[in-house]
Amino acid sequence: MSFTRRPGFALSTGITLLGTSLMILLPLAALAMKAIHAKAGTFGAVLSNPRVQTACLFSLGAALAAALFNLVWGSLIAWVLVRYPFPGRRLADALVDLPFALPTAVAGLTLSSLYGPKGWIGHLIPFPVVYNRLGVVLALSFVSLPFVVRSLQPVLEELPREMEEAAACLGATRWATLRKVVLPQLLPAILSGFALSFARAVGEYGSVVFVSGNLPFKTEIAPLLIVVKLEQYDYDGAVALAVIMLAVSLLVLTTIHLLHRRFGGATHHV
Amino acid sequence: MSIEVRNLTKRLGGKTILDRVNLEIPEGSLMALLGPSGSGKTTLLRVIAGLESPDEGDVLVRGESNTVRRPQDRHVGFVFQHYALFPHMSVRQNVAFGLDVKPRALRPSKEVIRARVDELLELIQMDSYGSRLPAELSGGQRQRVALARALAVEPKVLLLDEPFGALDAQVRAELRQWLRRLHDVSKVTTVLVTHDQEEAMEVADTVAVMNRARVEQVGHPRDIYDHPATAFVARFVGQMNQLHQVADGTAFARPHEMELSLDASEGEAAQVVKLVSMGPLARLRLRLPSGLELDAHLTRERLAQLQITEGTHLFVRPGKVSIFADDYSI
Amino acid sequence: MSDFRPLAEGVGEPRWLRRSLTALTVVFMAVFLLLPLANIFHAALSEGWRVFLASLQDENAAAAIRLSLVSTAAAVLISGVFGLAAAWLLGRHRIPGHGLWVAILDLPFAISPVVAGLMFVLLCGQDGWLGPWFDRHGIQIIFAKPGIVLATAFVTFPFVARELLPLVQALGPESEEAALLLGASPLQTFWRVTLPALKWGLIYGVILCASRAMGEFGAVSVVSGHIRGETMTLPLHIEATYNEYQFGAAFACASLLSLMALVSLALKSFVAWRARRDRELA
Repeated sequence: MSFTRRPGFALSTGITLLGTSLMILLPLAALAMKAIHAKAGTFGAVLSNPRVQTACLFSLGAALAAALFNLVWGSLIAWVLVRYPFPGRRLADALVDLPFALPTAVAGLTLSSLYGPKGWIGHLIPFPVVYNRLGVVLALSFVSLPFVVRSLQPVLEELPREMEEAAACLGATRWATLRKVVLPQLLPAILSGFALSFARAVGEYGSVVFVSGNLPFKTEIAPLLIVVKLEQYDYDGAVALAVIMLAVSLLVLTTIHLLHRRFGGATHHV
Repeated sequence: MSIEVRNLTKRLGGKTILDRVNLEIPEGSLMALLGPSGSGKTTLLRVIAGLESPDEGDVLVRGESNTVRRPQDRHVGFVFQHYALFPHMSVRQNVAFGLDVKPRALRPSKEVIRARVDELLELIQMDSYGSRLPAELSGGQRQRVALARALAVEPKVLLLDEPFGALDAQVRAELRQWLRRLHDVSKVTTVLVTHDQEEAMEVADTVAVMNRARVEQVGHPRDIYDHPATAFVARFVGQMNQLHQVADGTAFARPHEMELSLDASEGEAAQVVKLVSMGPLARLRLRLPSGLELDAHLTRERLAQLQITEGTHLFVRPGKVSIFADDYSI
Repeated sequence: MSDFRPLAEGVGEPRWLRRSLTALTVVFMAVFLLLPLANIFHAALSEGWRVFLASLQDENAAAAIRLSLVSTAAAVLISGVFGLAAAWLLGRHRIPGHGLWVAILDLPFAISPVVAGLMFVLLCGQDGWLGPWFDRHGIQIIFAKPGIVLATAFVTFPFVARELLPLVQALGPESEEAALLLGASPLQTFWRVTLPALKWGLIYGVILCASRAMGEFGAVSVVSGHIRGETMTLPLHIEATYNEYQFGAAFACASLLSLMALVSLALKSFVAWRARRDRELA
């Protein structure tokens, strides 16, 4: 490995290494040490606790449902924004980022009122949305909606129209072209957006506390349970849950990295 | 399949891209659409393929209107400048695509498709590349695959949009000759869009020169060169000296028609300012006292005979002059 | 956003399908995104302007706003300085373990904010690694303002670096080398060549960072201790008032944050537009 020394190399190396170590690695190490030094059997006890199991499974299930919701709607939004010019398209494009810009607590607050029994939307729906599992999925879908749109949009914009025209000239119907030519090229981006959406939803806390009602065995999610355990000074329990969540995050992150490495640099002028 | 383009007009965002274009492409011929970029040649090709719809006019194939048909039903093979191969499919899958997507009733059996692909890969001399991905091929190979893919469905018309534009000079020359041989064998009516006059002259039976949304001249390559119909064609195809204004336009002469002499009675005085001698022809740049500069080409023998070097003073006279009405559009 | 010319009839989707899908998307975005936004302002003003203004001038609300602003400023500063250094280092040099360092930059995005808060409790809390040391020196981190700043800085840490890294890579070393060869000092080169080239990326990253810092909830909630007027940021204040059924006050504060979110969205669009224009002019 060769170093190209430039002025400022020492300074920027110092800031980078110090910053990364203090802000990211040290806190991670604190969590790791706590996990290693936890009382023997803590992990087993925490994991076999039915309340923990229910919360973890619900967290995964709700995040999966939200990511699937976003897969469908996010793909549609990206497609329409790129392919079909309509008045107000730029405004719609900016609006996609709203869930990222809006603080999650604000999102949770307004969703709980909007879909609540007296809300603009809630009073039109015959079954309760807020304070049950549907509300949690709704909040998770809202906060992670932009991921699929934003990872699909640039790939779609770069897709040369000639590819689809070539397929049409070769006699393929529109449906066959979409299925055999377009979709395979968009799939990595869609999956990457799906994974990002899932990762975000699994860890989400702020919006959920407002819409879920935080009912154990019903709408309790894993991050909430960590907070509950902390409030009960059950540090070992909180750490055990945190380690599980961290493992899930890292797994998803690795998947995304592999997706990018496998499909990332594909050129389109082929 | 003969193609007749009738009064075709296409506008895009307030600009007229094709302006009442008429063109006839005889069955089994290879026609080149030659013109500078922005002259409308690619759009014309795309309208013929059904990839653009015209605002006015019609495209007839064997006397039948084709503009009502979708591209899928026109049986055209289209080859794009940037290949447009499907990057996630192997060479074989790319070539077989048009056969694979046929409706079940018309689709050949797997064995027939396999045999047809083998045959085409052999034709493009890429038998051993079947399992490669397009990204693993060179530009010339990619374009050959694109051609094979277009030929697989046995199109009635083959349309090529600057197919060699993105390739190196040497690969271009090879593919050009290969395309001509291919056409001699297959006899599929072919339209080739190019901005390279050499390419058009070398490959095509007929050349249509386009400029500013219109076809300026259609003819045999040699006729286009020898008898240009307009000033634009004269200057775009081959080199041309612009001489002087005459009553009904401007006089032009080709460099090889310039007659040089050391005799004062034969033409105007001029000085050789630049001399490039390569191969059988010597290229001279002459400057007249008026400041006008002219190009002249002459044989090595004539050069030696006249003992011309840079700086030589001599006399020049155009042997054959063409006069074109002034065309302010250039 | 580029403009895609629709494919020809027969190549692309039929017109009725294009129109229906566009309509479906517009309706979905209106219901799913716009209605929640409208609802915030509607609910904030539903009890009248007087209540709205009083809710924002409330002593605890004002303290929360101040703390949010301070921790946001700190987070932006930390993320900005680190981002410039890290992006320049990782974008221009191959240091040992390069891929790993880039991957580490993604960690704060992937870690749940609650887990992030927990890590700081375990590090700086009373029973934590460094807790006893801080205790002896009379410094309180957790359940105090420094903890809030730390937690906020953690979740926004990589924002600027992530935004700048691809820009530094795209910029290449040539212009810096040219400046140095022309006799500019390293500092001059940084101020007059490197920084201007990264300007829009830096501003974009700062907007993202500030907008996230302002609204951070999970990580801050864990380290805050929820002491009224002391360790409550604006989002935490919203939760507290909501739990006390002061919906008007909660929505008033929420509308303030929403307004900031809208401003950040507008700024982002503006910066993206300017950056694209500069690129096209270059």
